[in-house]
Parts: sequence; C-alpha cells; structure tokens
Amino acid sequence: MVGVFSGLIVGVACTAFLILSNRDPYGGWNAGFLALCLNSVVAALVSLLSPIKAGVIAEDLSASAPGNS
Amino acid sequence: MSPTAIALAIIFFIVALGSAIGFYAGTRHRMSLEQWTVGSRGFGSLLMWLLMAGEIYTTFSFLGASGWAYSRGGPALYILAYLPLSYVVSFFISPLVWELGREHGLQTQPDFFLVRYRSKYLMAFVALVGVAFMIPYLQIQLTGLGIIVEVASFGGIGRTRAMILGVVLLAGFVFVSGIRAVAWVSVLKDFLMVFAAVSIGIYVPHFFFGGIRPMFAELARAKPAHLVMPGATNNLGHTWYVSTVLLTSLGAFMWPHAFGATFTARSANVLRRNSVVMPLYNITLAFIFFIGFTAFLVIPGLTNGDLSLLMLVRQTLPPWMLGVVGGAGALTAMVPASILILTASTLFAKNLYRPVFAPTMTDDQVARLARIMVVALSLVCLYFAIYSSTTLVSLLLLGYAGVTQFSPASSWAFFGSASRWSEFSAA
Repeated sequence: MVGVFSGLIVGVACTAFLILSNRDPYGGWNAGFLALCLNSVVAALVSLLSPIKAGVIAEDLSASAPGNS
Repeated sequence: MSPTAIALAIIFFIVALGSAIGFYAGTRHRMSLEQWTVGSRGFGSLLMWLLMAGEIYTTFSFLGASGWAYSRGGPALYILAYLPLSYVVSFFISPLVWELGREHGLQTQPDFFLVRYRSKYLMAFVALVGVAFMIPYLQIQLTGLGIIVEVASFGGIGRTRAMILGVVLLAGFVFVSGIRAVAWVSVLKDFLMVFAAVSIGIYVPHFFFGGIRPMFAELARAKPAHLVMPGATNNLGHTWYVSTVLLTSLGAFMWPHAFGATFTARSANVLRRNSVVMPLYNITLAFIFFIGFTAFLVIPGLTNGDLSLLMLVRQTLPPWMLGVVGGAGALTAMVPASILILTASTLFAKNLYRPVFAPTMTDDQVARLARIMVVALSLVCLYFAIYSSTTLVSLLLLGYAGVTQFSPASSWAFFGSASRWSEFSAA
C-alpha cells in the first residue's frame, strides 16, 4: 500500500509540475509518460523496501467494504 | 427560414429527442445510489457496448481529432493508434476488476483501491485526483458544445451563452436520470455520429478533389511535411508519438468513469466481448481525419483548428446538414459529459467527503450530496471552459497524463495473488 501510494503521489506531482509549467513534451517525451515511469519506479522501490506484514490480507474486508448497505 | 434558424432548429430537435429518451429510460427505475451509479449491475452486451461507446467517443473525437489533423498534421495520428491498444489492456484487466467488484459490492474506482489496498486515505486521494483530472475532460465537452452552437448560429449565439445553456441542460439531465438513461441516449448519439462522420468524410474530399486518394495526393504535393512527424509542430516528434500512445493506451481504462463502467456489466464475458468489438468503432475516426485534412487544404488560416470540421460543413453543405452534424456533435458532448459529471460527483461524495469528513453519512445522504455536487462541478467546469483557451486535444492529454498515474497501482493489484490469475485465465 505504502509503495503504490508513494508512487501515485510522485506521479501526480510530476505530471502537474511538468504540464502546468509548460514543460510538456519534456525532452521530446510525453510528460505524463515520464511521470508514469517515475511513478512505477518509486512504487516498486518503496514496496520492496517496506516490510511485509503477515496476515494483513485476512483483515476484515467485509467491515471496510463500501456500498454494502 | 434563414440558414441559421434551420440549423439551430435541427440541433435543438436532436438534443430534445436525446433528452426525452434519457428521461424516459431514467424514470422507469427507482434511483438508489447503486441504481444511479452502476444500474444494478445488470448491463448485458448491448447496453454495455452503448455505455462504453458513449463515454469513449466524445466531442474530442469529433471536433478535437479533426482539429488536430488540421492544425498539427502527423502527430494527430496518435489518436488512431491508442484506442485499439487500450482495449488490449481492458480485455485483461476489466474482467478482474469486475470480479472483485461483484464480490465486494464496488461502485467506483476508489472503492476498488479501498478493498485492494485497505487504506481510506489512498481511496480519498484516488478520488481527489480522479475528480481533478476529469475537469479538463468535462471542459472539452462544454467547449465543444459552445463551438457547435456558435458556428451553427453563424456567430449569432455566442460561445459563452451556449455553454451556459449546455450546463443547465446537462445538470438537469444528470440530476434525474442516472447511468442507465445515459447509455440509452447513446443509441441516438452513436447512430448520428457515425452517419455524420462517414457521410461528410466521403463527401467533402469528393466535392473538392474527386476522392479521398486525390485529396491526399494534393496534400502530399502542397504540404508534404504536414503528413509526417512532427507535422506543423516543432516538438511533437517520434519519441513523443510513441510515449503518448503508450501513456494513453495504458490510461484509457484508468479514467474513473471507464473503470466504474465495469461494475455495471452483468458478467465478465460481457466485458471481454466488448473489448474485442469496440476497436471497430475506431474506423469512424479515419473519416474524421479525412475531413480535417480536407479542411487544411480548403479553408487554411483558421486560428482555432477545432472549428475546422464545422466550418467546412457550413461552407459546403446545406443548413439542414449543418444542423444534423451539430446535433450529433451536441449529443456527442452531452452523453460523455453526463457520465463524467455523474462519476465525479459520486467520487466526491462517496469516496472523498464521507470517509474523510463525515463517516456517519448514510447512502441516501451520500446520494443527495452527489446530486448537489453535480451542480457545483458543472459550474467549476463552466468557469474553466469560459476562461481558458487551450485546444481540445491538449486538455485531453492533460487529463490522460493525470489518470494514467493510477495504472501501476491498478495493474499490480492483481499480481499479489497468483491463484487469482490462474483462476481467471482459465475462465
């Protein structure tokens, strides 16, 4: 979770920065694509570095699941 | 009757007919939050196809694609490439998303993130980013609507006034109807759009050059650079083309409304079948490009390329045809705009406001807040549409760059458990 969350934040920040500062395309590349690459790398690195919590999968999905009215 | 009156009357007739279909389809079901957002998960292949075509083929494909063929040339060809590729992504991912959605009663894209990653803050963040990047996409539809009425009225009704009218109509429509109604209006919209694109795409090059091939021959003679990268731009070369096609084909299914549409399907196979059939629709886009390239030769010098299709129609075809094309264009803006507003307001109420600020809200209160957000978001988009002058394609690229950031998290959601994969590939 921490991994994809960090990747997402980095990706969105990078997209917003490059496009709003008129740097799209950046070095010939689509700015969003560069942000996506950075996003994936950050997500992968953080996921690999953060410890895996055993048993997390079994947590109460039913309680947190939305729309179960 | 003056040409303006004929064209406008036909546009308003088509819009009224579309709205009537929507109201009729919408009022036959009681509108709970689930009915409003995912239509009770009962959409078969036909309704699903209509819904997907309804939301993917927008005024962007109609005015934006011809606009870029006119003003940019070669780089516009990315539009032909990315949609078929995006269905490869959705063929594999959407059945998995659907399965998880059925298990847990999911209605929206952030719901999916909550269930898969178990963090309400991730969910709220996904909702926030989703809503933020849907605004430029909505802005495209409003701007398109404004352009259509402006050109069809020969400048008589200004763009701003047309957009205000459009917003009122849209908000009212979404307020009462819900997702099922929108899918049914798509029947009329798709029929008219395909008819308009194919007939003008064939007729106009014939009228001026004696055919599509002679038109391209003339273009290659007059301005050969327009047909290759970087066309009329100086920075959209091959690297841009490839990276943009990759980005947008990964991103098409990441739009919150496209992702959420998955949950309306009756079964996973409905989604697989749709991914196979939908690329055929893309053939229509080729005709839109013929129109844009013809306009480049025949009416050069427009400051806004997005006007090219309608200006060409206005110059070469009778007013009633301008009305039909304008009406098709107006529905092509309204159908996706309804889906976008509906999704964005549900995202805000259900996945951002309730979990973070008011955890005790009931589903009915969420549904009420979502309807209020329909109005609020429409006004925000109207503001941007009036005060910004970006081209339609640039707006879409901005939105795509944003929502595609969901792509790693969404795809990796399924790599965690190998059993899930084998289970689905066997199905």
